[in-house]
Amino acid sequence: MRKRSATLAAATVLAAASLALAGCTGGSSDDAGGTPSDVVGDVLNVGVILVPAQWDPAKFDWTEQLELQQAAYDTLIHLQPDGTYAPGLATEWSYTSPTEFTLTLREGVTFSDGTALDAAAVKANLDHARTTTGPRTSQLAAISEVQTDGDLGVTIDLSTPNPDLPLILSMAMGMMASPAALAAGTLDTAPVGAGPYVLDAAQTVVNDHYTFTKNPDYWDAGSIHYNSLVFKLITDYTASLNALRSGQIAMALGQPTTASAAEAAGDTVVTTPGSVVSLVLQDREGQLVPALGDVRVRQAMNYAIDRAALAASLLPGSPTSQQFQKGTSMWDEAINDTYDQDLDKAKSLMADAGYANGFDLPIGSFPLNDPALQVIASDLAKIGITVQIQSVPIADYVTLRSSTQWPGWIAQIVGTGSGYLDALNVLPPDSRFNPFHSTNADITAGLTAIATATGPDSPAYAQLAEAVQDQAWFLPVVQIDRYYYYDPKVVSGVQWTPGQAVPFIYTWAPAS
Amino acid sequence: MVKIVVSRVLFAIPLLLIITTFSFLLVSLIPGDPVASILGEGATPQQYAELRAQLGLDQPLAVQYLRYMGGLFTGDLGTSISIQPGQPVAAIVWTRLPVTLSLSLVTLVVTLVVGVLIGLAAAMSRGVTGRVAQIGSLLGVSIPNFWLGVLLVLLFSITWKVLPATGYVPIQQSPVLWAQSLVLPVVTLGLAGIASVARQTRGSVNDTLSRDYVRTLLAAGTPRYQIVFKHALRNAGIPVVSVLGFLFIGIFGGTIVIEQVFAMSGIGQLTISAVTNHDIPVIQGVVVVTTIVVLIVNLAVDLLYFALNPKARR
Repeated sequence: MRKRSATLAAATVLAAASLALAGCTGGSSDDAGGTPSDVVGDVLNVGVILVPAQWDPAKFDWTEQLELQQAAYDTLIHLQPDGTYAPGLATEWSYTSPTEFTLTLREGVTFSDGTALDAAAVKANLDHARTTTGPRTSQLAAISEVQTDGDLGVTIDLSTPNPDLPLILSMAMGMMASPAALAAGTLDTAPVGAGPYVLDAAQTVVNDHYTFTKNPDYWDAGSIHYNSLVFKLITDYTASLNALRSGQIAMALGQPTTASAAEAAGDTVVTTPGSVVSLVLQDREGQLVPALGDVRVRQAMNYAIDRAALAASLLPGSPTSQQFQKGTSMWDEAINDTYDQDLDKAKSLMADAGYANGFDLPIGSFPLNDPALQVIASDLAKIGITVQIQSVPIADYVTLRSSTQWPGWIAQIVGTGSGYLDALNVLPPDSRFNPFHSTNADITAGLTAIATATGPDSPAYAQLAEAVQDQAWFLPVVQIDRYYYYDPKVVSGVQWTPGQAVPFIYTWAPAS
Repeated sequence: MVKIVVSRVLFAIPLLLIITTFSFLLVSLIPGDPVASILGEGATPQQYAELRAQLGLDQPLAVQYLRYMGGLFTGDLGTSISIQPGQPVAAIVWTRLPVTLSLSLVTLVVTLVVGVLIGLAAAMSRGVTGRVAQIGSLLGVSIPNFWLGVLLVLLFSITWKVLPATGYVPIQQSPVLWAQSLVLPVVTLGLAGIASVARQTRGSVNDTLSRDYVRTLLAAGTPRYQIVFKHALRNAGIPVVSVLGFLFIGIFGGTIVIEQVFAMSGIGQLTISAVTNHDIPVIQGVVVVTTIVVLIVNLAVDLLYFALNPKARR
């Protein structure tokens, strides 16, 4: 009897273990979904952490979802990885004056619904975007009128100069949709563009995976290297890395905490400078904290920070003395180490300003930024400044940071990719992040100069950047790196374009 | 039986009303601004005001509530404001439900079958098998499921490449791939429940086997397996069924984490996405649908309990 019951017990445990392991399915390696990196040249599986909520380009944001947007829609101008511009739907463009921009469109382009791309279509798109409420439509605020000049000529009139129109027209606001679809209002659920790929609705599950098939009518069909792209939404970075390592996807956005694991697994990690972590020292007239009204104090604070230590630990990235992002026209290599840590100089400046014994400084924050702020505070304590961290929930932080309640706050302002627009966001006295309406003659002159600059290489940008640096309106610390992983056995040509959230799709090709 | 069904359905109506009202108030307290998450930081105050008015968010909370409840009574859960702007919430939730229900129901079945078998083994054997089953149960309760998920992916997906690391395949597309896509999530989600059911079963079977009538049956020469399967298991089933509702709710709630770990686009992932994007109508829709699912499951459990336990029918 005892032997029989033991056998029965063993059998039930075995059965249970088998069931638990197989989950009642009996999986086999041949049928597994995790076979190594799918088909080269035929299908490219891409992991994405964000997808467009809808398909009207006027309502597009331009962050981690841009790869899908680029698949469906082409832009008037192409921004290349080296920062230069190349023809897209427009073959030529130029400023005829600081307030007039002309484009010549490519002939023979059609949208996926068969509608022709002509000047009227571009006008319809730009007018639609200007009158639509969207995350990026403010980039077109300077446009006063869009005029057509024949079938292929477009003239954009500006109410105020905007030297970054080529950049703006190479991102979301430069994406052209079929005017027929715009008029019909059908872009909420499906794109109708002239991009290199067309969304295959039958093979797409919204918010799960999106399948795009090659657009045979694309104006540069020879540059399309895949029959289809499948974008799989994986919002968790660890899950994304697991999918990459198991071969379900060939590429995905990464983050500092998983970079070494990706490299160890044989994936290629490419990085690019992302947003800048800084203190916005906005009480520049000293209304709340008189000491901040003295430029020497603000400079002393900048000299007190050990940026290299932060970049090597808490904020993986590049130490920076500049508020603006590398890769934009407002970034200047020559002044990047202006405020390398120099405690003697910092103390001397504090003494000269009459604050040798320091002062108390409230700084606004929210929980995610608190650890970095604590490290910055410990550096500032070395020159006698006692930082009072005022950490509030994110919703309150968003409101308070652009009010006059805080003399300063810790920021991680995500750039627009345009140095001009980034400067307009924080420097003019009526800008969103200048609530105390600070002004400075050199900065004002610099803003005027960049408005009429002929291009991103204009010395006007460097002069303005230097003025901002000299006035120490900000306390920049680290430019955080952005990470992207790909399997080099499957895909090549994965490159960052300066200032962008993820690599552009145009250069992706099968690995040799 | 009909009386039970009617009373439960009548009870469900006010319950649904209370939960919906409570969740509406709770959601209105979530920090953050849906308009800010739609428009981003660069929008002008005028754009904020226009969109706020367009979404009805400029109305007093009471007006918003009455409008929402009015829609609810006519079967309209509203439209998404940020995840899929303009799309009906009911349709969005409906497309996600099969993922979560597949995951939850398969986990429930596996949990019950495997848990009962392990519990039986532990009860019937006091040797190595029983000890292993006991220790296994203890481990199952102790191991955090997100950690287990990562470990299983490392072994089965990355090292051996026999099962997918992420994703869900609908059963109508391929039953085999559907099953494979569920193996790791089900094991991860179900382990704690398996351990719990195993311990419950072991206790109940032990209790039954120590009864006088079992000793009498043994003395009369009735085979031990017959006693176990005919008498002990039926009696042991009653306490297991009584916790079935709680078990399902635990599993259903656990899908929020598991769907993230395995990148499955179900209700759990939708919930996180809706909260992150301040999509209030979708959050509300998820609450309503989840409540209805839980009420249906509880009704089914009650009916099963009544069917199994004659005392409850009196």
